[in-house]
Amino acid sequence: MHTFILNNPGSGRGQAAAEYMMLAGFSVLLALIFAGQIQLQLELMEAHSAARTGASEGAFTDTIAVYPGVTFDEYQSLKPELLEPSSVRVVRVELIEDGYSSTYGRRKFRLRAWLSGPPMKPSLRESISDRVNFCIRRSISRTFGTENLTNTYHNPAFSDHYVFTTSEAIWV
Amino acid sequence: MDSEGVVTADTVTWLFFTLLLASVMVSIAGARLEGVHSDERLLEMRILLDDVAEAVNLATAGGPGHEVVVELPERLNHTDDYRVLVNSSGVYGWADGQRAFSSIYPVVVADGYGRTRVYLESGGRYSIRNTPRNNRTVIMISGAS
Repeated sequence: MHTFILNNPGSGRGQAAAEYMMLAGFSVLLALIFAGQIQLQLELMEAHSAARTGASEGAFTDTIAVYPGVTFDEYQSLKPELLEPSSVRVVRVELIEDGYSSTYGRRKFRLRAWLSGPPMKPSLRESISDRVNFCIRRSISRTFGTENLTNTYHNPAFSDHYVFTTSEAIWV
Repeated sequence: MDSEGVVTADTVTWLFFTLLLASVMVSIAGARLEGVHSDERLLEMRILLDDVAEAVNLATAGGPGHEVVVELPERLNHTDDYRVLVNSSGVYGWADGQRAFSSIYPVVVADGYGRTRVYLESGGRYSIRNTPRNNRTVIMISGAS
């Protein structure tokens, strides 16, 4: 092949060997395939990170006990304990794959927060868990700009290629 | 062969991955910063309410004539308007659709007009004084100069 180039009348510039062309073509093909996969993985990573940010926001809201008006009124009459600051911490946010969802036509993931906090009644822990889960889903919707695809509760939350739900937090 | 203006495959690959990672990192950092800004606003409200509640408790605990002066900021986190209400059960705050409460030792709270629900204006300076009335402790809240 090398000889071919040298024997070719005219300039040797602007020419490339067939092996080189094949190698380059194959590399571009591989790069495109990997780029797609990498992009999907990065999207998942971004969604997981958004979930962690949301969980921290939710836990922080309960830690300093500053709530939206409607929630505040509800807690004032039914759960006054939640109006006092507490120390809720997010230990980790678990990402569980639930497989392909035919309903949404996307791969579905479930997010589960692991929380720690002072001993309190199960109903109070449930409220805190609900808040953290809501903030997780809202954070994903906001990160990917998909608020218009979901409902008020951001349930489920969508990224570009995946769908996310949440399950009851685990207290440790 | 002219070597000027040539970009090697390594550079292109490196640039591609760097840009990909950078875009994700910028997006994650942006979301985090937004969250921190929002948290800061809520935290300022919590601190403000706790400060006012502490001032009321100090005046109560200090006995007759004890006075504590509180100064409220113009805005929370330099951006948000807010309102503060003090009554016998505690201190309530409103800011940007958010609400919070800070409890106080149960005591009668009143302003100069005898109202038991006292609203504090942002940017105001208030005197919180322990004033005995008919053998009862009343916490009087009035504007301070």
